[in-house]
Amino acid sequence: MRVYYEIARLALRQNVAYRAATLAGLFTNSVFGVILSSVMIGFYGSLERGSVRGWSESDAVTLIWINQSLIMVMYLWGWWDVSKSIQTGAIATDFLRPISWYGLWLSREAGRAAIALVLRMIPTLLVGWVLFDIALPASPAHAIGFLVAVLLGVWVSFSIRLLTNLTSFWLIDHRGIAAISMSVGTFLSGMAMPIDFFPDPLRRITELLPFQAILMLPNNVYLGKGNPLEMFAIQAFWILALGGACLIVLRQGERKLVVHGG
Amino acid sequence: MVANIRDLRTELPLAWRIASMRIRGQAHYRGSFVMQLLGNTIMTMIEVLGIVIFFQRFPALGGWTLNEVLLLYAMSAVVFEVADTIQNGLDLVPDHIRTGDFDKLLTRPMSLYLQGMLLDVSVRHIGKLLLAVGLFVFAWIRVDPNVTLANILLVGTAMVCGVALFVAIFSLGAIISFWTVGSIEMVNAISYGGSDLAQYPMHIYRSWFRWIFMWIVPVGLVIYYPTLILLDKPDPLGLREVAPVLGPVTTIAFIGLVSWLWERGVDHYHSTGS
Repeated sequence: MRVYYEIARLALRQNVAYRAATLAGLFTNSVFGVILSSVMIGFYGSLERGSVRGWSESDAVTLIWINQSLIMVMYLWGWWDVSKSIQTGAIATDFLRPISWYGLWLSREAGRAAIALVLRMIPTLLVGWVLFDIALPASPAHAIGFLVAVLLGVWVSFSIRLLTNLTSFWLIDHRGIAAISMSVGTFLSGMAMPIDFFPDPLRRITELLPFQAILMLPNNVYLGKGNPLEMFAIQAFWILALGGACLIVLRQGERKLVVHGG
Repeated sequence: MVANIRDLRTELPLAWRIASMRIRGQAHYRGSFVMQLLGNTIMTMIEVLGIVIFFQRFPALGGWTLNEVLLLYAMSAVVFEVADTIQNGLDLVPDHIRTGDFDKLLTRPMSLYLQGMLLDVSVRHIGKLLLAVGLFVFAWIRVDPNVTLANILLVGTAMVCGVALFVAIFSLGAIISFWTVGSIEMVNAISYGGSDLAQYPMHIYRSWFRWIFMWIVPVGLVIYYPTLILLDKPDPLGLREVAPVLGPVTTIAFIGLVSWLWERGVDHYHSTGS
Protein backbone atom coordinates (compact mmCIF):
# COMPACT_ATOMS: atom_id res chain seq x y z
CA MET A 1 0.00 0.00 0.00
CA ARG A 2 2.86 2.30 0.89
CA VAL A 3 4.09 2.45 -2.71
CA TYR A 4 0.69 3.66 -3.99
CA TYR A 5 0.67 6.38 -1.34
CA GLU A 6 4.11 7.54 -2.48
CA ILE A 7 3.02 7.59 -6.14
CA ALA A 8 0.00 9.73 -5.20
CA ARG A 9 2.18 12.09 -3.16
CA LEU A 10 4.56 12.51 -6.09
CA ALA A 11 1.71 13.27 -8.50
CA LEU A 12 0.37 15.80 -6.02
CA ARG A 13 3.71 17.59 -5.79
CA GLN A 14 4.10 17.63 -9.58
CA ASN A 15 0.78 19.43 -9.86
CA VAL A 16 1.53 22.04 -7.19
CA ALA A 17 4.44 23.32 -9.25
CA TYR A 18 2.45 25.26 -11.86
CA ARG A 19 1.33 28.32 -9.93
CA ALA A 20 0.76 30.68 -12.87
CA ALA A 21 -1.27 28.01 -14.65
CA THR A 22 -3.41 27.54 -11.55
CA LEU A 23 -4.20 31.25 -11.39
CA ALA A 24 -4.92 31.44 -15.11
CA GLY A 25 -7.23 28.44 -14.81
CA LEU A 26 -9.08 29.96 -11.90
CA PHE A 27 -9.54 33.12 -13.97
CA THR A 28 -10.91 31.12 -16.92
CA ASN A 29 -13.35 29.12 -14.77
CA SER A 30 -14.54 32.35 -13.16
CA VAL A 31 -15.16 34.08 -16.51
CA PHE A 32 -17.22 31.13 -17.72
CA GLY A 33 -18.97 30.96 -14.35
CA VAL A 34 -20.04 34.60 -14.78
CA ILE A 35 -21.21 34.05 -18.39
CA LEU A 36 -23.18 30.86 -17.71
CA SER A 37 -24.80 32.06 -14.50
CA SER A 38 -25.82 35.34 -16.19
CA VAL A 39 -27.48 33.28 -18.93
CA MET A 40 -29.21 31.13 -16.30
CA ILE A 41 -30.46 34.21 -14.40
CA GLY A 42 -31.56 35.75 -17.71
CA PHE A 43 -33.67 32.69 -18.49
CA TYR A 44 -35.18 32.56 -14.98
CA GLY A 45 -36.09 36.25 -15.39
CA SER A 46 -38.54 35.26 -18.15
CA LEU A 47 -40.57 33.02 -15.81
CA GLU A 48 -43.75 33.88 -13.94
CA ARG A 49 -43.18 31.29 -11.23
CA GLY A 50 -39.90 30.60 -9.51
CA SER A 51 -38.79 27.08 -10.32
CA VAL A 52 -38.36 24.67 -13.22
CA ARG A 53 -38.74 20.97 -12.55
CA GLY A 54 -37.83 21.46 -8.90
CA TRP A 55 -34.86 23.72 -9.65
CA SER A 56 -34.93 27.25 -8.21
CA GLU A 57 -32.79 30.02 -9.71
CA SER A 58 -30.38 29.78 -6.78
CA ASP A 59 -30.03 25.98 -7.23
CA ALA A 60 -29.33 26.37 -10.95
CA VAL A 61 -26.74 29.12 -10.47
CA THR A 62 -25.05 27.06 -7.76
CA LEU A 63 -24.89 24.13 -10.19
CA ILE A 64 -23.09 26.32 -12.74
CA TRP A 65 -20.39 27.25 -10.21
CA ILE A 66 -20.03 23.72 -8.80
CA ASN A 67 -19.50 22.48 -12.36
CA GLN A 68 -16.90 25.15 -13.13
CA SER A 69 -15.12 24.32 -9.87
CA LEU A 70 -15.05 20.60 -10.73
CA ILE A 71 -13.69 20.85 -14.30
CA MET A 72 -10.09 20.42 -13.22
CA VAL A 73 -10.93 18.02 -10.40
CA MET A 74 -12.73 15.71 -12.83
CA TYR A 75 -10.16 16.54 -15.51
CA LEU A 76 -12.83 16.41 -18.19
CA TRP A 77 -10.63 17.63 -21.03
CA GLY A 78 -7.45 16.42 -22.58
CA TRP A 79 -6.03 13.64 -20.40
CA TRP A 80 -4.03 11.39 -22.73
CA ASP A 81 -1.24 10.10 -20.49
CA VAL A 82 -2.13 6.41 -20.94
CA SER A 83 -2.67 6.89 -24.66
CA LYS A 84 0.80 8.46 -24.93
CA SER A 85 2.31 5.57 -22.99
CA ILE A 86 0.81 3.16 -25.54
CA GLN A 87 2.09 5.20 -28.49
CA THR A 88 5.62 5.53 -27.10
CA GLY A 89 5.76 1.98 -25.78
CA ALA A 90 6.33 3.16 -22.21
CA ILE A 91 3.35 1.03 -21.24
CA ALA A 92 5.57 -2.07 -21.58
CA THR A 93 7.76 -0.78 -18.74
CA ASP A 94 4.66 -0.05 -16.67
CA PHE A 95 3.54 -3.68 -17.15
CA LEU A 96 6.91 -4.88 -15.85
CA ARG A 97 6.58 -3.03 -12.54
CA PRO A 98 5.87 -5.19 -9.51
CA ILE A 99 2.66 -3.26 -8.77
CA SER A 100 -0.79 -3.27 -10.30
CA TRP A 101 -1.02 -1.25 -13.52
CA TYR A 102 -4.50 -0.01 -12.63
CA GLY A 103 -3.31 0.87 -9.12
CA LEU A 104 -0.40 2.85 -10.54
CA TRP A 105 -2.64 5.12 -12.63
CA LEU A 106 -5.33 5.36 -9.97
CA SER A 107 -2.75 6.54 -7.41
CA ARG A 108 -1.44 9.20 -9.79
CA GLU A 109 -5.04 10.25 -10.38
CA ALA A 110 -5.72 10.45 -6.64
CA GLY A 111 -2.76 12.77 -6.09
CA ARG A 112 -3.74 14.96 -9.03
CA ALA A 113 -7.37 15.20 -7.97
CA ALA A 114 -6.50 15.95 -4.33
CA ILE A 115 -4.50 19.02 -5.24
CA ALA A 116 -7.10 20.19 -7.78
CA LEU A 117 -9.68 19.98 -4.99
CA VAL A 118 -7.71 22.42 -2.86
CA LEU A 119 -6.32 24.75 -5.54
CA ARG A 120 -9.19 24.78 -8.04
CA MET A 121 -12.49 23.63 -6.54
CA ILE A 122 -12.51 25.61 -3.30
CA PRO A 123 -11.26 28.93 -4.80
CA THR A 124 -13.75 28.72 -7.70
CA LEU A 125 -16.63 28.07 -5.30
CA LEU A 126 -15.48 31.07 -3.25
CA VAL A 127 -15.54 33.30 -6.35
CA GLY A 128 -19.07 32.07 -7.10
CA TRP A 129 -20.11 32.78 -3.52
CA VAL A 130 -18.68 36.32 -3.59
CA LEU A 131 -20.01 37.27 -7.06
CA PHE A 132 -23.28 35.34 -7.28
CA ASP A 133 -24.07 34.43 -3.70
CA ILE A 134 -24.34 30.70 -4.47
CA ALA A 135 -25.98 28.37 -1.95
CA LEU A 136 -23.75 26.87 0.70
CA PRO A 137 -24.17 23.21 1.75
CA ALA A 138 -27.18 23.06 4.09
CA SER A 139 -25.21 21.29 6.87
CA PRO A 140 -21.73 19.85 7.57
CA ALA A 141 -23.21 16.45 6.69
CA HIS A 142 -24.16 17.78 3.23
CA ALA A 143 -20.62 19.10 2.76
CA ILE A 144 -19.07 15.74 3.71
CA GLY A 145 -21.54 13.89 1.48
CA PHE A 146 -20.57 16.24 -1.38
CA LEU A 147 -16.88 15.47 -0.88
CA VAL A 148 -17.60 11.72 -0.97
CA ALA A 149 -19.64 12.14 -4.16
CA VAL A 150 -16.84 14.22 -5.72
CA LEU A 151 -14.23 11.56 -4.93
CA LEU A 152 -16.43 8.80 -6.36
CA GLY A 153 -17.10 11.07 -9.35
CA VAL A 154 -13.35 11.44 -9.94
CA TRP A 155 -13.08 7.66 -9.97
CA VAL A 156 -15.88 7.34 -12.56
CA SER A 157 -14.35 10.11 -14.68
CA PHE A 158 -10.96 8.39 -14.43
CA SER A 159 -12.49 5.09 -15.57
CA ILE A 160 -14.14 6.68 -18.61
CA ARG A 161 -10.91 8.47 -19.54
CA LEU A 162 -8.91 5.28 -19.09
CA LEU A 163 -11.29 3.43 -21.38
CA THR A 164 -11.09 6.08 -24.14
CA ASN A 165 -7.28 6.17 -23.73
CA LEU A 166 -7.10 2.42 -24.25
CA THR A 167 -8.61 2.82 -27.74
CA SER A 168 -5.06 3.84 -28.70
CA PHE A 169 -4.20 0.14 -28.92
CA TRP A 170 -6.26 0.10 -32.09
CA LEU A 171 -6.49 3.73 -33.25
CA ILE A 172 -3.42 5.76 -34.11
CA ASP A 173 -5.08 9.17 -33.97
CA HIS A 174 -7.36 9.67 -30.98
CA ARG A 175 -8.21 13.34 -31.51
CA GLY A 176 -11.54 12.66 -33.22
CA ILE A 177 -12.70 10.21 -30.54
CA ALA A 178 -11.49 12.71 -27.97
CA ALA A 179 -13.56 15.58 -29.34
CA ILE A 180 -16.69 13.43 -29.59
CA SER A 181 -16.47 11.77 -26.18
CA MET A 182 -15.56 15.10 -24.57
CA SER A 183 -18.46 17.07 -25.93
CA VAL A 184 -21.13 14.36 -25.59
CA GLY A 185 -19.92 13.28 -22.16
CA THR A 186 -19.66 16.82 -20.82
CA PHE A 187 -23.16 17.73 -21.92
CA LEU A 188 -24.71 14.52 -20.56
CA SER A 189 -22.93 14.96 -17.25
CA GLY A 190 -25.03 18.06 -16.58
CA MET A 191 -22.42 20.72 -17.34
CA ALA A 192 -24.67 23.38 -18.89
CA MET A 193 -27.92 22.61 -17.09
CA PRO A 194 -29.42 20.08 -14.68
CA ILE A 195 -30.35 16.90 -16.55
CA ASP A 196 -33.86 17.38 -15.13
CA PHE A 197 -34.19 20.12 -17.78
CA PHE A 198 -33.66 17.60 -20.61
CA PRO A 199 -36.70 16.40 -22.59
CA ASP A 200 -37.95 13.20 -20.95
CA PRO A 201 -36.65 10.63 -23.49
CA LEU A 202 -33.17 12.18 -23.39
CA ARG A 203 -33.27 12.39 -19.59
CA ARG A 204 -34.17 8.69 -19.30
CA ILE A 205 -31.28 7.70 -21.58
CA THR A 206 -28.89 9.96 -19.67
CA GLU A 207 -29.84 8.31 -16.40
CA LEU A 208 -28.74 4.96 -17.82
CA LEU A 209 -25.28 6.31 -18.73
CA PRO A 210 -22.25 6.84 -16.47
CA PHE A 211 -21.70 10.56 -17.24
CA GLN A 212 -24.21 11.85 -14.67
CA ALA A 213 -22.03 10.31 -11.94
CA ILE A 214 -19.33 12.90 -12.68
CA LEU A 215 -21.16 16.21 -12.18
CA MET A 216 -24.90 15.73 -11.73
CA LEU A 217 -24.83 13.41 -8.72
CA PRO A 218 -22.32 15.48 -6.69
CA ASN A 219 -24.54 18.51 -7.43
CA ASN A 220 -27.60 16.66 -6.15
CA VAL A 221 -25.82 15.75 -2.93
CA TYR A 222 -24.56 19.32 -2.42
CA LEU A 223 -28.03 20.79 -2.93
CA GLY A 224 -29.79 18.10 -0.88
CA LYS A 225 -31.80 16.69 -3.80
CA GLY A 226 -32.62 12.98 -3.40
CA ASN A 227 -31.04 10.36 -1.18
CA PRO A 228 -27.22 10.62 -1.08
CA LEU A 229 -26.79 6.86 -0.46
CA GLU A 230 -28.60 6.16 -3.71
CA MET A 231 -26.20 8.53 -5.56
CA PHE A 232 -23.17 6.84 -4.01
CA ALA A 233 -24.53 3.42 -5.03
CA ILE A 234 -24.94 4.52 -8.67
CA GLN A 235 -21.38 5.89 -8.67
CA ALA A 236 -20.00 2.69 -7.09
CA PHE A 237 -21.80 0.61 -9.71
CA TRP A 238 -20.12 2.55 -12.53
CA ILE A 239 -16.70 2.35 -10.89
CA LEU A 240 -16.98 -1.45 -10.81
CA ALA A 241 -18.55 -1.83 -14.27
CA LEU A 242 -16.14 0.53 -16.04
CA GLY A 243 -13.16 -0.85 -14.09
CA GLY A 244 -14.09 -4.36 -15.28
CA ALA A 245 -14.45 -3.10 -18.84
CA CYS A 246 -10.99 -1.48 -18.64
CA LEU A 247 -9.41 -4.75 -17.55
CA ILE A 248 -11.05 -6.70 -20.38
CA VAL A 249 -9.99 -4.11 -22.97
CA LEU A 250 -6.49 -4.07 -21.49
CA ARG A 251 -6.22 -7.90 -21.87
CA GLN A 252 -7.20 -7.58 -25.54
CA GLY A 253 -4.81 -4.69 -26.05
CA GLU A 254 -1.88 -6.46 -24.41
CA ARG A 255 -2.16 -9.24 -26.98
CA LYS A 256 -2.01 -6.73 -29.79
CA LEU A 257 0.80 -4.63 -28.34
CA VAL A 258 4.09 -4.63 -30.19
CA VAL A 259 6.86 -2.49 -28.74
CA HIS A 260 9.93 -1.75 -30.82
CA GLY A 261 13.07 -1.62 -28.75
CA GLY A 262 16.38 -0.01 -29.55
CA MET B 1 2.39 51.81 -43.89
CA VAL B 2 2.75 52.24 -47.66
CA ALA B 3 5.77 49.95 -47.63
CA ASN B 4 3.77 47.42 -45.63
CA ILE B 5 1.01 47.34 -48.18
CA ARG B 6 3.50 46.89 -51.01
CA ASP B 7 5.11 43.99 -49.10
CA LEU B 8 1.72 42.44 -48.61
CA ARG B 9 1.14 42.39 -52.36
CA THR B 10 4.15 40.18 -52.89
CA GLU B 11 3.66 38.19 -49.71
CA LEU B 12 0.04 37.21 -50.05
CA PRO B 13 0.50 34.93 -53.10
CA LEU B 14 3.39 33.29 -51.27
CA ALA B 15 1.25 32.90 -48.15
CA TRP B 16 -1.44 31.28 -50.24
CA ARG B 17 1.06 28.74 -51.60
CA ILE B 18 2.29 27.85 -48.11
CA ALA B 19 -1.27 27.50 -46.88
CA SER B 20 -2.33 25.22 -49.72
CA MET B 21 0.80 23.07 -49.15
CA ARG B 22 -0.15 22.61 -45.51
CA ILE B 23 -3.72 21.72 -46.43
CA ARG B 24 -2.59 19.19 -49.02
CA GLY B 25 -0.38 17.58 -46.40
CA GLN B 26 -3.38 16.99 -44.15
CA ALA B 27 -5.45 15.52 -46.95
CA HIS B 28 -3.19 12.46 -46.85
CA TYR B 29 -4.53 11.47 -43.44
CA ARG B 30 -8.12 11.15 -44.52
CA GLY B 31 -9.31 9.00 -41.61
CA SER B 32 -8.15 11.30 -38.86
CA PHE B 33 -9.30 14.36 -40.81
CA VAL B 34 -12.84 12.99 -41.06
CA MET B 35 -12.88 12.05 -37.36
CA GLN B 36 -11.72 15.52 -36.30
CA LEU B 37 -14.25 17.16 -38.57
CA LEU B 38 -16.99 14.99 -37.09
CA GLY B 39 -15.85 15.71 -33.54
CA ASN B 40 -15.86 19.47 -34.02
CA THR B 41 -19.21 19.42 -35.77
CA ILE B 42 -20.86 17.37 -33.03
CA MET B 43 -19.52 19.81 -30.44
CA THR B 44 -21.34 22.71 -32.12
CA MET B 45 -24.52 20.68 -32.59
CA ILE B 46 -24.59 19.94 -28.86
CA GLU B 47 -24.21 23.63 -28.03
CA VAL B 48 -27.19 24.45 -30.24
CA LEU B 49 -29.15 21.57 -28.70
CA GLY B 50 -28.44 23.10 -25.29
CA ILE B 51 -29.95 26.44 -26.35
CA VAL B 52 -33.01 24.71 -27.83
CA ILE B 53 -33.55 22.75 -24.57
CA PHE B 54 -33.29 25.96 -22.53
CA PHE B 55 -36.04 27.48 -24.65
CA GLN B 56 -38.26 24.46 -24.02
CA ARG B 57 -38.12 25.22 -20.29
CA PHE B 58 -38.10 29.03 -20.51
CA PRO B 59 -40.08 31.36 -22.82
CA ALA B 60 -37.34 33.94 -23.50
CA LEU B 61 -33.84 35.19 -22.65
CA GLY B 62 -33.72 38.87 -21.77
CA GLY B 63 -36.78 39.41 -23.98
CA TRP B 64 -35.24 37.58 -26.98
CA THR B 65 -36.88 34.52 -28.57
CA LEU B 66 -35.19 31.27 -29.60
CA ASN B 67 -34.78 32.29 -33.25
CA GLU B 68 -33.37 35.67 -32.29
CA VAL B 69 -30.83 34.11 -29.92
CA LEU B 70 -29.96 31.54 -32.60
CA LEU B 71 -29.21 34.36 -35.06
CA LEU B 72 -26.95 36.01 -32.48
CA TYR B 73 -25.30 32.64 -31.73
CA ALA B 74 -24.70 32.02 -35.44
CA MET B 75 -23.23 35.51 -35.97
CA SER B 76 -20.79 34.96 -33.15
CA ALA B 77 -19.97 31.39 -34.25
CA VAL B 78 -19.33 32.29 -37.90
CA VAL B 79 -17.04 35.16 -36.94
CA PHE B 80 -15.20 33.06 -34.36
CA GLU B 81 -14.64 30.07 -36.65
CA VAL B 82 -13.32 32.20 -39.53
CA ALA B 83 -10.99 34.02 -37.13
CA ASP B 84 -9.82 30.76 -35.53
CA THR B 85 -9.04 29.28 -38.96
CA ILE B 86 -7.03 32.34 -39.98
CA GLN B 87 -5.04 32.58 -36.76
CA ASN B 88 -4.45 28.83 -36.22
CA GLY B 89 -0.67 29.03 -36.61
CA LEU B 90 -0.29 31.74 -33.97
CA ASP B 91 -1.10 29.06 -31.36
CA LEU B 92 2.29 27.52 -32.15
CA VAL B 93 4.26 30.74 -31.64
CA PRO B 94 4.69 30.20 -27.86
CA ASP B 95 6.28 26.79 -28.52
CA HIS B 96 8.58 28.28 -31.15
CA ILE B 97 9.66 30.97 -28.73
CA ARG B 98 10.28 28.50 -25.93
CA THR B 99 12.43 26.22 -28.07
CA GLY B 100 14.21 29.03 -29.94
CA ASP B 101 12.76 27.96 -33.30
CA PHE B 102 11.38 31.48 -33.66
CA ASP B 103 14.87 32.47 -34.86
CA LYS B 104 14.20 30.70 -38.13
CA LEU B 105 11.24 32.98 -38.80
CA LEU B 106 13.39 36.06 -38.22
CA THR B 107 15.72 35.06 -41.04
CA ARG B 108 13.00 34.76 -43.68
CA PRO B 109 12.00 37.69 -45.92
CA MET B 110 8.35 37.73 -44.96
CA SER B 111 6.23 39.51 -42.37
CA LEU B 112 6.70 37.79 -39.00
CA TYR B 113 3.02 37.99 -38.20
CA LEU B 114 2.06 36.37 -41.48
CA GLN B 115 4.64 33.64 -40.92
CA GLY B 116 3.21 33.05 -37.46
CA MET B 117 -0.27 32.61 -38.89
CA LEU B 118 1.06 30.15 -41.47
CA LEU B 119 2.83 27.89 -38.96
CA ASP B 120 -0.26 25.73 -38.99
CA VAL B 121 -3.11 25.93 -41.45
CA SER B 122 -5.89 23.58 -40.50
CA VAL B 123 -9.15 22.95 -42.23
CA ARG B 124 -10.68 21.10 -39.29
CA HIS B 125 -12.87 24.12 -38.51
CA ILE B 126 -14.65 23.81 -41.83
CA GLY B 127 -17.38 21.56 -40.41
CA LYS B 128 -18.22 23.97 -37.61
CA LEU B 129 -18.07 26.90 -39.99
CA LEU B 130 -20.50 25.32 -42.45
CA LEU B 131 -22.83 24.43 -39.59
CA ALA B 132 -22.69 27.99 -38.26
CA VAL B 133 -23.38 29.43 -41.71
CA GLY B 134 -26.28 27.01 -42.12
CA LEU B 135 -27.67 28.04 -38.74
CA PHE B 136 -27.30 31.71 -39.68
CA VAL B 137 -29.34 31.18 -42.85
CA PHE B 138 -31.94 29.13 -40.93
CA ALA B 139 -32.31 31.73 -38.17
CA TRP B 140 -32.37 34.58 -40.71
CA ILE B 141 -35.27 32.97 -42.57
CA ARG B 142 -37.13 32.32 -39.30
CA VAL B 143 -36.81 35.88 -37.95
CA ASP B 144 -37.28 37.36 -41.43
CA PRO B 145 -35.64 40.78 -40.85
CA ASN B 146 -36.04 43.80 -43.13
CA VAL B 147 -33.61 43.37 -45.99
CA THR B 148 -32.50 46.94 -46.65
CA LEU B 149 -29.18 48.19 -47.94
CA ALA B 150 -28.47 49.67 -44.50
CA ASN B 151 -29.06 46.32 -42.79
CA ILE B 152 -26.87 44.41 -45.24
CA LEU B 153 -24.08 46.93 -44.75
CA LEU B 154 -24.56 46.65 -40.99
CA VAL B 155 -24.25 42.86 -40.94
CA GLY B 156 -21.39 42.86 -43.44
CA THR B 157 -19.42 45.37 -41.38
CA ALA B 158 -20.16 43.39 -38.23
CA MET B 159 -18.78 40.21 -39.79
CA VAL B 160 -15.59 41.87 -41.03
CA CYS B 161 -14.99 43.71 -37.74
CA GLY B 162 -15.80 40.58 -35.74
CA VAL B 163 -13.28 38.43 -37.62
CA ALA B 164 -10.59 41.12 -37.30
CA LEU B 165 -11.36 41.58 -33.61
CA PHE B 166 -11.12 37.88 -32.78
CA VAL B 167 -7.90 37.43 -34.78
CA ALA B 168 -6.49 40.30 -32.72
CA ILE B 169 -7.69 38.70 -29.47
CA PHE B 170 -6.13 35.37 -30.43
CA SER B 171 -2.83 37.15 -31.19
CA LEU B 172 -2.61 38.18 -27.54
CA GLY B 173 -1.59 34.62 -26.62
CA ALA B 174 1.39 34.74 -28.96
CA ILE B 175 2.25 38.26 -27.79
CA ILE B 176 2.23 37.41 -24.08
CA SER B 177 4.57 34.49 -24.78
CA PHE B 178 7.32 36.95 -25.80
CA TRP B 179 7.51 37.76 -22.08
CA THR B 180 6.17 34.69 -20.27
CA VAL B 181 4.87 31.26 -21.21
CA GLY B 182 3.02 30.66 -17.95
CA SER B 183 -0.29 32.42 -18.31
CA ILE B 184 -1.40 31.95 -21.90
CA GLU B 185 -4.56 30.23 -20.71
CA MET B 186 -5.79 33.67 -19.56
CA VAL B 187 -6.17 34.62 -23.22
CA ASN B 188 -8.46 31.63 -23.76
CA ALA B 189 -10.82 33.13 -21.21
CA ILE B 190 -11.03 36.26 -23.36
CA SER B 191 -11.16 34.58 -26.79
CA TYR B 192 -13.40 31.58 -26.07
CA GLY B 193 -15.15 33.49 -23.29
CA GLY B 194 -15.64 36.51 -25.56
CA SER B 195 -17.16 34.34 -28.28
CA ASP B 196 -19.40 32.47 -25.82
CA LEU B 197 -20.72 35.57 -24.13
CA ALA B 198 -21.40 37.25 -27.48
CA GLN B 199 -23.78 34.37 -28.28
CA TYR B 200 -26.29 35.83 -25.81
CA PRO B 201 -27.80 39.34 -25.57
CA MET B 202 -25.33 41.64 -23.76
CA HIS B 203 -27.95 43.22 -21.49
CA ILE B 204 -28.28 40.01 -19.44
CA TYR B 205 -24.78 40.56 -17.98
CA ARG B 206 -23.95 42.65 -14.96
CA SER B 207 -22.75 46.16 -15.74
CA TRP B 208 -19.07 45.74 -14.73
CA PHE B 209 -18.71 42.57 -16.79
CA ARG B 210 -20.56 44.05 -19.76
CA TRP B 211 -18.41 47.18 -19.59
CA ILE B 212 -15.22 45.11 -20.09
CA PHE B 213 -16.63 43.35 -23.13
CA MET B 214 -18.05 46.53 -24.68
CA TRP B 215 -15.32 49.08 -24.11
CA ILE B 216 -12.05 47.16 -23.60
CA VAL B 217 -12.69 44.09 -25.77
CA PRO B 218 -15.55 45.44 -27.91
CA VAL B 219 -17.31 42.16 -28.84
CA GLY B 220 -20.60 43.59 -27.56
CA LEU B 221 -20.46 46.61 -29.87
CA VAL B 222 -19.39 44.50 -32.84
CA ILE B 223 -21.81 41.53 -32.59
CA TYR B 224 -24.68 42.31 -30.20
CA TYR B 225 -25.62 45.77 -31.45
CA PRO B 226 -25.76 45.05 -35.19
CA THR B 227 -27.99 42.04 -34.42
CA LEU B 228 -30.17 44.13 -32.09
CA ILE B 229 -30.63 46.81 -34.77
CA LEU B 230 -31.30 44.20 -37.47
CA LEU B 231 -33.98 42.56 -35.32
CA ASP B 232 -35.29 45.93 -34.18
CA LYS B 233 -35.27 44.84 -30.52
CA PRO B 234 -35.65 47.20 -27.54
CA ASP B 235 -32.33 48.81 -26.60
CA PRO B 236 -31.81 48.67 -22.81
CA LEU B 237 -28.27 50.09 -23.03
CA GLY B 238 -29.20 53.09 -25.20
CA LEU B 239 -26.35 52.95 -27.73
CA ARG B 240 -28.40 52.09 -30.79
CA GLU B 241 -27.72 55.35 -32.62
CA VAL B 242 -23.95 55.35 -32.19
CA ALA B 243 -23.13 51.61 -32.15
CA PRO B 244 -22.80 51.17 -35.96
CA VAL B 245 -19.96 53.71 -35.86
CA LEU B 246 -18.53 52.80 -32.47
CA GLY B 247 -18.13 49.11 -33.40
CA PRO B 248 -15.63 49.65 -36.27
CA VAL B 249 -13.89 52.50 -34.41
CA THR B 250 -13.27 50.46 -31.25
CA THR B 251 -12.22 47.47 -33.36
CA ILE B 252 -9.62 49.54 -35.18
CA ALA B 253 -8.39 50.95 -31.87
CA PHE B 254 -8.11 47.43 -30.41
CA ILE B 255 -6.19 46.17 -33.47
CA GLY B 256 -3.90 49.20 -33.23
CA LEU B 257 -3.13 48.40 -29.62
CA VAL B 258 -2.52 44.71 -30.36
CA SER B 259 -0.19 45.39 -33.30
CA TRP B 260 1.76 47.88 -31.17
CA LEU B 261 2.10 45.17 -28.50
CA TRP B 262 3.22 42.65 -31.15
CA GLU B 263 6.00 45.03 -32.28
CA ARG B 264 7.09 45.52 -28.64
CA GLY B 265 7.07 41.74 -28.20
CA VAL B 266 9.25 41.09 -31.24
CA ASP B 267 11.66 43.80 -30.04
CA HIS B 268 11.77 42.11 -26.66
CA TYR B 269 12.49 38.66 -28.12
CA HIS B 270 15.88 37.25 -27.24
CA SER B 271 16.71 33.89 -28.70
CA THR B 272 17.01 30.93 -26.36
CA GLY B 273 19.59 29.42 -28.70
CA SER B 274 22.76 27.79 -27.45
